[in-house]
Amino acid sequence: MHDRSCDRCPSPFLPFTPLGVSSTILGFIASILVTYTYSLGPMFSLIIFYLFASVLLVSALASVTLRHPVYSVLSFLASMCSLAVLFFIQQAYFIAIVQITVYAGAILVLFLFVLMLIGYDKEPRTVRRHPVRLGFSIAIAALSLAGLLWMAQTAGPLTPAALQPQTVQAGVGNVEALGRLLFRQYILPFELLSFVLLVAIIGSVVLAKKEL
Amino acid sequence: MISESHYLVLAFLLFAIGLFGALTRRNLILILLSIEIMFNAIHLIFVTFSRTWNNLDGQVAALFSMAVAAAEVAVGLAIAILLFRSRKTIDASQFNSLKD
Amino acid sequence: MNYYFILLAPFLAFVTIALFTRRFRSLSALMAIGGLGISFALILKLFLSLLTTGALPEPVEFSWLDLPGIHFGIGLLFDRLSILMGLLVSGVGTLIFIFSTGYMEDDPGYSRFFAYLSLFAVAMLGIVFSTNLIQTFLFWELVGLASYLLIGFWFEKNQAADAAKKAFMTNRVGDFGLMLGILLIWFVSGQALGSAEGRTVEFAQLARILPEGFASGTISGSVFFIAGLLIFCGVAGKSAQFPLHVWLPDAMEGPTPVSALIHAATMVAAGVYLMARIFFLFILSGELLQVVAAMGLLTALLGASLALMESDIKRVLAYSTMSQLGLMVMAMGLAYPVAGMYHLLTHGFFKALLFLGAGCVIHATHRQNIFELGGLFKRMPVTSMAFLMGMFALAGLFPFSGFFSKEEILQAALETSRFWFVGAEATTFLTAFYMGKLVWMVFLGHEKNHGETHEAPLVMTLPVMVLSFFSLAAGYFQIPELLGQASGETRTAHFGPVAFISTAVVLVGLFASFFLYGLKKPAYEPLEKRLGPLGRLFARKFFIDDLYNFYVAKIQQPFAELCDRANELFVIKGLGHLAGRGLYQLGSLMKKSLTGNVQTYISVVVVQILIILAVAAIFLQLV
Repeated sequence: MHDRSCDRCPSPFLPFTPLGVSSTILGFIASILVTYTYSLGPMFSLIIFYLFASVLLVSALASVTLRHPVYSVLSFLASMCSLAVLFFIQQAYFIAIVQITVYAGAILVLFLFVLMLIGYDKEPRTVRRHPVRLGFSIAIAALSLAGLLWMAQTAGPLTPAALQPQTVQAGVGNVEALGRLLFRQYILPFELLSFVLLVAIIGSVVLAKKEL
Repeated sequence: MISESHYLVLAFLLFAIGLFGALTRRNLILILLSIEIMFNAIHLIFVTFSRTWNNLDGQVAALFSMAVAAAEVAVGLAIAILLFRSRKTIDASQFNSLKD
Repeated sequence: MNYYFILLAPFLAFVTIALFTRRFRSLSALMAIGGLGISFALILKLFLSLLTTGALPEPVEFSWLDLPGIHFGIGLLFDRLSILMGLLVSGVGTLIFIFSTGYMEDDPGYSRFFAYLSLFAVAMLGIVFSTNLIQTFLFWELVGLASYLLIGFWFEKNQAADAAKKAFMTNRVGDFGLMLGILLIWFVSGQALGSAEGRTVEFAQLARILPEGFASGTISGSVFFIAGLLIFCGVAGKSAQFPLHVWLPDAMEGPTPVSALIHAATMVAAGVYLMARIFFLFILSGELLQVVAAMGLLTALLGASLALMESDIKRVLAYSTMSQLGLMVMAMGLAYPVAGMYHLLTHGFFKALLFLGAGCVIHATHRQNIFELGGLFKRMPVTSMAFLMGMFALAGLFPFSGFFSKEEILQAALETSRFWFVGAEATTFLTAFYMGKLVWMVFLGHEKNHGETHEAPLVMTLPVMVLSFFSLAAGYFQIPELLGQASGETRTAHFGPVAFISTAVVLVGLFASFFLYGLKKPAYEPLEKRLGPLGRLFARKFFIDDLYNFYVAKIQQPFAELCDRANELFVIKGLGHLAGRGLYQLGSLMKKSLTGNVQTYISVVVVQILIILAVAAIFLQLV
C-alpha cells in the first residue's frame, strides 16, 4: 500500500457516480422501451441513438482526459453503459447484456481494485508540460480517424462472398440463435476461448501474487 | 432510419479517442483503459456489420473479442502490479530503460 | 610445322629460367640459347623456302579480341620484311647470347640475365612478326620493359637504376603518341569503308584500306599526316630520335651484351621497322615524309657531333647508333624504305660486332675510357681485327657492307635534293672521324695499363668473328632484292659519283682523326680546347639533358605534388570525411527517436499502419 499523495483531493467518488449510475438506469429503461415499442417508429430510435451516442462520446472523452484516475474509470463505466444501449437498439441483445456484465461488471471492478492498490495519483497536467506530445497524439488520432473515414468511404460496399445472410427464424430469439451458432459452427473457437480464459486466470494469479 | 454509416462514424470516433488516450496518458492503468475504449469501438463495428449483412457471425466475433479483451486486461493489470512492485511507480514516462 | 614456336620457344625459356633454373647457371644459359636458337632455325627454314620456292605461309593468328568494331589477335605475319628482320634478330641474338656466357660468367645474376634476355627475344620477335598494330603495341611495351630490366640489371648501382628509369620514361612519352596514332588509324579505317564495323588494325587490311581511302577522298590527307606524326612519336622514343634520344647514352650502364643486342641491333631498330611496316600510311602524306626526313637528319648530325666529345667507348658507340638510326629514318623520309631497311640490317651486324668487341676489351681491361686504354692491338689481335672491320663497315668503306647500304641512302638523298645529300655526307665525315679516333686511341700506341690483358675466350671471340664475316659479306647478299625490290631497280650505280664522293669523305675523316689521335696520343680531349665555346656546347650535349631535368624537377614534380594535395583535400578529406560525418550525424538524428517510451513506439506503429494503408489503397487504385 502506498500513501496517498493527494491530500487535498476531494473524495473521488462524488462527482461522476451519479452520471454513471443514472446512465445505466436510463439505459436499461430506454432499451426496454425500444424493444417493446418498435411501433414508435424510426424517429424514436433516432433520438435514442443520438442521445446515447453523445453520452458515449462525452464519457469516452472524459475518460481519456480527466486527470483523476478514478474519475476516468467511472466515466468509462458511463461509456460502457451507453454502448450497451447502442447494442440494444441494434437488436444485439445478448451482446448488450454481456457488455454490461463483463465490462461494467467485471473489468471495471478490476480496474478500480488495481487503481486503489497502486494508481491513485493524479496525472500531471499534460497540456502545460508536454504540449508537443499532446499535439502529436492529437495529430495521430486525427489522422487515423481521417484514414478510417476515408477508407470506409472509398472502399465501397464490400460484399464478403462467404457471408450468407441468415434467415431469421420465427420464434427464435437472439440468444438462442447465437447459442446455436456458437455450439455448432464455432464450437472449436469456443473451446479454445475457454482455454484462453484459463490461461489468463492462471497467468494473472501467478504474476500478481507475492509468494507462491 | 439509422444507417450503418452512423454507427461506423461513431465507432471511428471512439477509436480515435481511445488512441489519443493511449498515447497521452501517463498512468499505466489508464493507458490500459484507453485500450479498452478502442476495443469497444471494434465491438461496435462488428455488431454494426452483423446488422448490415443480416448475419450473426459479427456478433459471434464481438463476443469472442470481448472475452479475449477481458483476459488481456486481467493479465495486463497483473503486469502493472508487478511493475509497480519493482519500480515503485506506474508512470509510463519512467519506464525508459530502452533509451539509447 | 607450328610456327608459333618462333615466339613460344624463347618464352618457354624465359618462364623456365625464371621459375625453375635460377640456381643452375649453365642450364639457364643453355635454355636461353636453345630457345632463341629454335626460333632462328624456324625462321631460317622459312627464309630458305622463300629463296627456293618463293612461297610463304599464310599468316597465323590467335584471336584475342573479337567484338563488332574491333578484332585483333596475336599472330605471325610472314613476308619478306618480317623474315629478314627476324633473321637478324634471332641470328644476332643467338650470337650475343653465346657471347654473354663468357662475358657474364663472374656475375651473380647470371641466370636472371638469361631470363631477361629470353623475355626480350620474345618481345622483339613479337614486334617483328606482328600482324596488327595492337600486337605491335603490346610487344612494343614489353620490349620497353625488357629494356628497363636489362639496363637496370646491376640495379645496386644508382646510375644503372636511374638510367633504366630514364629509358622507360622517355619511351613512355613516345608510346603515348604511338597509342594515339593507333587509335586514330583504327578509327579512320572504319570511315574509309563507310561503317564502324569495318574498323581494323591489321596491317594487311590497312594496307588496302588506307590508300583506297586516300585515293577516293573519303579520308582527308591531314588525317594521315597526324596519324603518321603520332606514330613517329613512338618511333622517336624507341629509336632514340631527337628529342627523345636522351636515354640511349645512359642506357650504356647496362651490361655490354645488352647494349649490343638491344641498343644497337634490334630494339632501337624496332622504330625503323615499324615505319617500314606502316610505310603505306606514311607515303600518303608528303609533309609527313619531309618532317620525318628532317628529324632523321637532325638526329644523325646531333648524334655524330655528340659522339665527337665522348671518351667512353660505349657512349661513343651509343651516339653512333643514334646517328645511324637518324640516317635510316631519313631514308624513310626520302621515300626509300628499302634503303632504310638495308642499312638497318647491315648496321645490325656491324654495330653488334663493335659492341661485342668493346665488350671483349672491357672484359679484359675492366676499363671503358679511351684515354685510359691503348695498344691493345698487340695483346688482343682477334678483337682488334674484328673491331677494325666493324669500324670500316660503319664508316662506309668499300668493300664492307656498310658501304653498300649507306650508298643507297646517299643516292636517295642526292636524288631528292642537294640539302639532304650534304647533310648525309657531313654525317659520314663525322662518323669516320670519331670512329677513327676510337680505334686509334684504343688499339694503337703503347699500352697504358700494366698487365695481363689477354685475348678474350673463344666463346666470346667466336660470335665476334661470325659477325665480322657478315659485316664484310652482307653487302653481297643482295638484300634490296630480297626485300622485294625487283632487280635492276637499285638506284646505285656502284662506282658512280656518289661512291666516289663518299669514299673520299670517309678517307679524309679517317686520316684527320689519325693525325689528331693516332700519331701521338693526347692525354685529354684536344677538340674541346680547339673548338672553344662550341666545344663546351658539344660536351654538355647541347644542354638537352639539363633542360629535361629542369622540366621534370621544377615543373612536373611540383605540379604532381599539387595534384596530390588537391586529391587529399577534396577527395579524401572532402568526400570521404563528409560521407562519414554525414552518416554519423544522420545516425545521431535517428537516435533521438529511441526515447525508450512505449507510447512513442506505439505512435510510430500507428503512423506506419496508416502509411501502409495509404500505399495499399493507392496500389489497389481505390483513390
